[in-house]
Amino acid sequence: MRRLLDVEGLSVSYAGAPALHDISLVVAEGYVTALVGANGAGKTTTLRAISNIIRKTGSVVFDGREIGALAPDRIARLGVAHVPSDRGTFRALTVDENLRVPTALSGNRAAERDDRERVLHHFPRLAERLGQRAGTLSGGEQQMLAIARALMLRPRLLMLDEPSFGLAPRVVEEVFAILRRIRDADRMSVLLVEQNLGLALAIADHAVVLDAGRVALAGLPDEAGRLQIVRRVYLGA
Amino acid sequence: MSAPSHIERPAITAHPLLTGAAAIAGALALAAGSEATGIVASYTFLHLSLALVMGIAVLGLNVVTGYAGQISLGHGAFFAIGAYAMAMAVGHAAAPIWIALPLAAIVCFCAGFAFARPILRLEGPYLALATFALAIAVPQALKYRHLEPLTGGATGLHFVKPDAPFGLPLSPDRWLFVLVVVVAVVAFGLVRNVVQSGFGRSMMAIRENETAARALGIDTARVKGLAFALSAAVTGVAGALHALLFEFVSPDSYRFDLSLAIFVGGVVGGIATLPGALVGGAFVHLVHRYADAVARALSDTFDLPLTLQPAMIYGVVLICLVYLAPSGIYGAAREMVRRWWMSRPNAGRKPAAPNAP
Ligand SMILES: Nc1ncnc2c1ncn2[C@@H]1O[C@H](COP(=O)(O)OP(=O)(O)OP(=O)(O)O)[C@@H](O)[C@H]1O
Ligand SMILES: [Mg+2]
Repeated sequence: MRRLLDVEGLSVSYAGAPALHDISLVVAEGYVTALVGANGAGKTTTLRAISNIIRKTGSVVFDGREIGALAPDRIARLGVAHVPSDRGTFRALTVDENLRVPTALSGNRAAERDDRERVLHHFPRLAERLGQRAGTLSGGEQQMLAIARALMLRPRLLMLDEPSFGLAPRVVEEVFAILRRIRDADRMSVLLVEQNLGLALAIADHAVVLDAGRVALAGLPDEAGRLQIVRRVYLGA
Repeated sequence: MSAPSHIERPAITAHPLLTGAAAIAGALALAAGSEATGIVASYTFLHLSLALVMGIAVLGLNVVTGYAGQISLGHGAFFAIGAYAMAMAVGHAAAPIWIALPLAAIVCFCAGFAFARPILRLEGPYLALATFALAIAVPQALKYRHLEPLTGGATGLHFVKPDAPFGLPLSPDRWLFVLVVVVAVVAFGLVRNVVQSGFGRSMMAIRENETAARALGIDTARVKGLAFALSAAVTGVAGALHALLFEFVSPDSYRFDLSLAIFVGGVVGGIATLPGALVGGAFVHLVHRYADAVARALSDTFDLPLTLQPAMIYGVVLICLVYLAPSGIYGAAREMVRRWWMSRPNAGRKPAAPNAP
């Protein structure tokens, strides 16, 4: 197993109030790691710290390289794609323009076209709506757009913050089916934050449980682990 | 399969190069024709030029405010810097216009870039305030005593505008009008290409959601800095033309209300539209020119108990516009044309299934 992302001793405070205490986690190359935990456990904060959007202490090693001090856009260009839970849709731009933001400054139109073709292969609903303003997409379509757009970065690590948030069960299923297909087709490494434990553990190869800013549990999401996690995090036992 | 599906719109999609060439040819014909016949007075050309110059200034602001989403209440400063660059290059160094104009653009580009780096970290009202400070500071700096040999201090700088090139038999106002049209065509063409490029897309992504843009690998500081610099350069060229039209610059010609006028022009014309910049520029110039006369005429005609101030007229017109055309005059006009287009008798029928090329 190759460690694509290696986070160690990560701590974050918001205005003096600690949100993450010295957490460590690993994302293995080619696998899906689920980061789960109750509301306010620090999952979003962990992703933000890895992307260096917020101040933190500790070390973040990506692909053998310390990236803790790099600017967020540098980290993205190195291949860490972060899909935030608010999806960050460029509302006034079309779907097509949204998809072409990651390649906007690269200047290679042919590669951009190929990448778009490859990405849209997974998202037929977006392929039908390229000229539509992104702000008028449904919630599920905006989530798909956010994922598709992140894939346009040709990431080596895809970080998803609650892709199921606010979506109807059927749409959630659709999004996760696409995620599974992307994982299988591209052997994409994924760090998946998810409230919905069943969903997360069904797709994950490995799970990390956060509880009040600390790693409570990490391991294989087998049946026993699942029960233990549920008891501890969701029932408070 | 993946050709963008275009939404039906009634755009008068003339080729931009053709439009530009037609504008220049038309301007030349109008200038030459009226020189011979006198049907359009020379000073009318001055006013057309001034309206167009404001349009170019608004176009510059539109780059950074309309497309990159960063408010600037200080673009009058770059207008002033461009004007002084022109006056100093022609007045002190006897530079020809074809050197002085690009020089003004470069000076303003550099000034804009230098200024942008520190202040574009600010957001919303703080950014507005910082740019406004620039609008106040630059005229003061131009009065600085030790720079007086260069800038002419508080009294300003006179210079003589060059005659028409190639021995063209045109009055100064007429040939400068042609020059202004040529510069406007170049400026609009340049900005159009930029906003439609990948760089333009990254500017708009920043406007829509800066954090998301950064998460997608856009170096937002660099893009904002370059957008501000380009914006300053375009507005600076407008200032340079303005100086040329009057053969004179002074700090008091470029007070902070000029910055506000440029901003008003941008909003009134229609932010993030290119034709809107022309409309906004014309609006600002017309108000500047006629608010006084309208105020006097209204006061006289209706025998009003109070003396109407030009600023009141300005204010009332602005309030009406904000209510009637919240997306700008150009936006409102486009919407009206679109409605009319959709309501044609056979609007629903499509000629043929649109095929991907
Ligand atoms: N910008 C902020 N300022 C202050 N406190 C914050 C900020 N963002 C998060 N916090 C706090 O940090 C803690 C962790 O928040 P975080 O958003 O990481 O939780 P989460 O695990 O993503 O929760 P959820 O599942 O509800 O999204 C919470 O107690 C939260 O209140
Ligand atoms: Mg969260």
